[in-house]
Amino acid sequence: MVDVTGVDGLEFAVNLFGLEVANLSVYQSEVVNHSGQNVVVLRMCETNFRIAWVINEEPEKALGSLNAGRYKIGVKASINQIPRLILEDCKLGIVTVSSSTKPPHRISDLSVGRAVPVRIAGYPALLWRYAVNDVPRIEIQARREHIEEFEKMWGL
Amino acid sequence: MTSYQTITVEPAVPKRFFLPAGEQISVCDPEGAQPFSIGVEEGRSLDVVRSTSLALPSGTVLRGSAELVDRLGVAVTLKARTSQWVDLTTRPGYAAASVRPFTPDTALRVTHPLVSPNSPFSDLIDPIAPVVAEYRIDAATALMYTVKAGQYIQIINVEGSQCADFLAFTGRHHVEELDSATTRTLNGAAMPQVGLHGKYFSQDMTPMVEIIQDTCGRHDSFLLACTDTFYEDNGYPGHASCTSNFNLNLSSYRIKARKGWPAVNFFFNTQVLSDGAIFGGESWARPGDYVLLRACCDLLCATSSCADDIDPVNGWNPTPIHVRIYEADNTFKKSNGIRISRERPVRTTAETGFTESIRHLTDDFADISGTWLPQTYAGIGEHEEYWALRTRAALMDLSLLKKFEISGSQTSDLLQLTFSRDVDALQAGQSIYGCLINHHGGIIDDGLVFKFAEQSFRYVGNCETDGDWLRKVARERGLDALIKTSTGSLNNVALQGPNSREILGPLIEWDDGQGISTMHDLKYFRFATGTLNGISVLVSRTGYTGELGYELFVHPNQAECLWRTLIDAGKPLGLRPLGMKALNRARIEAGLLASGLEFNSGISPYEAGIGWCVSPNKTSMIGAQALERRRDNPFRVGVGLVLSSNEIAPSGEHVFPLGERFAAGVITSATFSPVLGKSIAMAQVYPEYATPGTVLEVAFIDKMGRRTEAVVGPLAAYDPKKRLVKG
Repeated sequence: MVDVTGVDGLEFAVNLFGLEVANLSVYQSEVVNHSGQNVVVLRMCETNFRIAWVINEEPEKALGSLNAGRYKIGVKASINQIPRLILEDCKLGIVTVSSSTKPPHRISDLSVGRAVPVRIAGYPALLWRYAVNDVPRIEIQARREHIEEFEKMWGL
Repeated sequence: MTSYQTITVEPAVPKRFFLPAGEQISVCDPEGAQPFSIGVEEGRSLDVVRSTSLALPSGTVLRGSAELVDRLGVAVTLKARTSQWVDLTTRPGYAAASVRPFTPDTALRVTHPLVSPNSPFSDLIDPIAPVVAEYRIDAATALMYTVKAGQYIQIINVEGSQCADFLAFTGRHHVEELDSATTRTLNGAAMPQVGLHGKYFSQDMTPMVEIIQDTCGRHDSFLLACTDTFYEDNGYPGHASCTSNFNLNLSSYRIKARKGWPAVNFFFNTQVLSDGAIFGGESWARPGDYVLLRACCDLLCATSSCADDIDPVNGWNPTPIHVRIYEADNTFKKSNGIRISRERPVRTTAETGFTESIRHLTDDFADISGTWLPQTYAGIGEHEEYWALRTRAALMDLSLLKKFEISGSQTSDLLQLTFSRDVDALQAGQSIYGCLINHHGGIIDDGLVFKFAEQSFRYVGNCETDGDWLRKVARERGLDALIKTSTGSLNNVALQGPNSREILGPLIEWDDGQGISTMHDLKYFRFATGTLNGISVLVSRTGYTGELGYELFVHPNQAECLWRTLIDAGKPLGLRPLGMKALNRARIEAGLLASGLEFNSGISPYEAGIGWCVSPNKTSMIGAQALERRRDNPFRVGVGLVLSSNEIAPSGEHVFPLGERFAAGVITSATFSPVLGKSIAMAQVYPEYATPGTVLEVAFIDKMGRRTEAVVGPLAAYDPKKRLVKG
């Protein structure tokens, strides 16, 4: 997973993935094809994006494929190695029951292609729902020890 | 000494006031033609001290009741010889509100003594719910009290101009306390504001209290409660201080004394100046002003009446503070107190007829110009809302606009005097955009005039005081023109975007006799009435987005149904609700002005970039001569800028000629334009730099750290020729 930040982050993302990413709202994502791989592009704020490889890519290779270095200023691409827990979409109900969030975010009716910062059983996480090949899935990004708690909680 | 308060009495809401012997009450109908009655208790009477009413002249005595109405408005002051109750009611004088021209019932203004015979504390506003407990904090003292989670704390300024410092503790042994640095950081704001970022937090980020209502709007949390050191350093050793008073009270709870308590200083008027100094001025609080807090957990609280009498912060004279506690099962609407002129009483943030529908879709509300409006929508977001507007359709609540019904035999004369466009050239069913102009050619406000018939108009602008200005001019010039505020009777939504016509067309049944049978007949800046799903609407082909679009005016009682109907009808065509953040981006792209940014009362239409909205034949208009001088020699000129980098220009900052240290102008609004893929801005620059194609510099950091080139162009970066709105 790579985080792209900087004043030119939007331009970078558009050049790499197409104009569609400019349409994304904050915490909205879409799946795109990049160098033959499915990647999910999540907009984190006006200029920052998170790029997650659907099939785990080696971080250095992933970073290299973005070729961020050719941008002179305004873009920093860095590897984010936060653990990711992938769940079947049918688990959304039990996840949201254990989760809370702060306004203006809402968890109920979390659409496909949306993420929300949450607390799951009090632990901070990013809850993300997206579809790959039209199959929705849930991804939870959190610290290793918290992921282990979630797995215990849900009997995974 | 008795404190007085001026309040608004809304139409059809009877009010009762208690007048102690020797005190006075003043009742005013500021807008005119509003029937109302004053009733006196049997066996009592009121002396008429002052009156503009022939029906109740000065020097007479009022017994029983009096019905008053005057087209020019009535103002009476009455004095009680003996203590008594006085009843006041507006009389509904007119037909029900309508989207077509109508005469609305309007509010009265009442100045009355702040006394309440039913309360042991007779110098206070009435409680807003049954009181659980209340405490009077004498001047220059402090008091402790406890509250349970969910209960409400109302801290009231009894006589006005008085600071009240506030501490709160929670947790075992009261280890957690209010922490302003944590609060500022978590809210991203200097002070919590009523709304999304209204909580105060402890040092451990525990929510402690949330501000629910605030009628003052000016508080401090940067400074400690006043300390012994402050007075000692200023030559007043031994002077009472809030810190000492808190220490005295807190000792019984075994909370260790401090040399200075980091309190929330309610009603304390501070400001950080440009040199970094913190200036403390006289409190802005009026008698009866208050803050209402909700306890987020069980709390031990302390409140002081600040002891400072060596400077203006408490009006040089500390006075009492009063605290009331209300039960947790109360529901109080969140609101700020809004004061917009010296004459007008404070009013609170309004909801619209659409608010309830919108609340299902988002929690992200902000107080915009005294109205709760959505900033973004949950599960959609600013960018998707924006793209819906630009490529499909979007729906937004714009009921914050202020509406005025103008009727009488000389209404067009009034508007020709005050409004920058030629209203005589309008046809019935036509509207026009322009400005109210002051004597020195500055813009009082921009807005739309709707012409219904020869002497029948509606003005729609940004500010409640637009009506005050029109009434003032009418009065001074002796013009027969009645200007009545209809804002409370008319809400409005904007349906905008390429699909807006297609969405609206099948829904509308047009009223007869307007020459409108299809949506295509409704041309740019034309309006017509009809029904939509049984709802009476006025549809205007106007907007604030730069897209084809319509504004629909409706009675608030029918707003919810209208919203639901439009949302349902628009779904197949990709309609989304639009929040104010996306709207602001769109209006900057379209080069549309915002009050307080692109214009104020010192900026003329020529400087704001809308010189075209001054009709050439308006030679007798107020400010005409000043405008002529300013047209030929504008101080600055409104332009658009396109930046060469993706950074957003900082609003309020200067722009510079290439390589120069002196400024060429100032940025008024800026954004990143998604449709153009560019950072753009609106600016006002000296005429020498206003030629399209001129390259200027926008400064970042400290005006020297980094500069980005920006090219001057039209005010509207998006569709500058307005093809889309006219299409």
